[in-house]
Amino acid sequence: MQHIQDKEFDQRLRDQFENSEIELPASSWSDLEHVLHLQKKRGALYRRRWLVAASVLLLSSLGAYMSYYASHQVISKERLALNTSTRQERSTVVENKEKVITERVDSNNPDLPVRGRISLAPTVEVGKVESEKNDIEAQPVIPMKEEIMLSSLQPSSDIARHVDNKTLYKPDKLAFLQASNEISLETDSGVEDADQQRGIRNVGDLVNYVVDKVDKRAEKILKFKTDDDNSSLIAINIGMLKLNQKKQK
Amino acid sequence: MYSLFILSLTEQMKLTPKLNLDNLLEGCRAGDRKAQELLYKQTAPKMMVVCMRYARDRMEAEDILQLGYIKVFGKISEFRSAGSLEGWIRRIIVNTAIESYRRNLRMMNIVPITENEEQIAADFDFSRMGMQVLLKLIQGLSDGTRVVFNMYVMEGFSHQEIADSLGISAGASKSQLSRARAVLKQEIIKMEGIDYATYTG
Repeated sequence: MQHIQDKEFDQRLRDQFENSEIELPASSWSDLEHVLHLQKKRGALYRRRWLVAASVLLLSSLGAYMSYYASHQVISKERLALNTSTRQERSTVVENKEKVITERVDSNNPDLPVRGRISLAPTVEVGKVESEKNDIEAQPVIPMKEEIMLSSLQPSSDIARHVDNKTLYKPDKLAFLQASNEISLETDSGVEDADQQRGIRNVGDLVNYVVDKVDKRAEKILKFKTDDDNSSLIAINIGMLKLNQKKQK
Repeated sequence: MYSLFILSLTEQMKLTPKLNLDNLLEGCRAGDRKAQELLYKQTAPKMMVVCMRYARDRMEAEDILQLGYIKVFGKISEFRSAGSLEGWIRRIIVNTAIESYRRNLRMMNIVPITENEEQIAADFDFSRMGMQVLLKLIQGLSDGTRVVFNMYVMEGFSHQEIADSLGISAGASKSQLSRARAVLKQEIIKMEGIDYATYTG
């Protein structure tokens, strides 16, 4: 019994379809052309949308960067101006003190070395100091507040003769303290302005934005406004939360 | 084969020497509609046969053909002239047909293999049947069986490749193929009629 095998059967089927064609309707190409045209339009639309989206993203990020840069620059300028003014104030104070101290030391003990002067105001030259001394001698010196304080502390001129570096340093210490207090006060106000400009960066800023500020070092947790009849909560102390606690080395 | 195809393309499309296959490809790559139309009209009738083998009916076959040619024109720049353009288009059409089947996947009717007792005589003349009749018989197969039959018998995929492509086991592929052969043979015998069934022994 001779029957057709699978392989032969498959081959005959393949042969049957070899180079065979099926006539297509005339509208076949026009249909395809229409679809291709639509696809091209859709592709152009998608490309345009992507382009618009990319442009918006680019512009918004550029705007955000510019605003951030501008606010940063304002803060830097404010800080720079603040530092310059405090430095100027400090140098004025130092110069005045130098004048007073020089005058006093020279008048009281001319043999005393100028050790204190050098250590306190290294930029002041000896010649300059001497010329200033002449000027000071010619004109009566009006002591500054610290000088008055120091002179009030010193009971007699004998003590002033034995003045040493420590006593010389005192008024400067006071002056520096005063100056530093002034600086810290001014910088605090500057920092507050900068804080207002830099926006909400953390939980503390958010709480400060919603309610009023309260000193975190204070032991109170809540602060109420009691001016009016109805007391209202105006501040929350989040100092004990210790957010973003910095690791101490 | 490739040179024969170019010759046939040039003859059948009555292309002038200037408008040879390279020019046609260049035109298609540039998105020239005229060049695309020429390529489509030359190759689509053959590809329609492939689509008809994979589809259940003509409408589905036309959809596959359209989808396939959209891919062809979209990827024509990837075609390297070293290979056969017709073979390349055919691969895209076959892949589109397989994707279409996977997309419209219905439950594969895995029918237990039962050896067909009836056998087609060796001297049966297939040419008497005609391609259209054979197409009808193939289209009559269940979806899974038809795809496996086409992939194995017509495209030459292995059972493992079919299994990987369709997400079935190699055994299931073999089963589907046996089923396809059995059904086709049965149908051919029916058409052959008692007069053509020559059994020996």
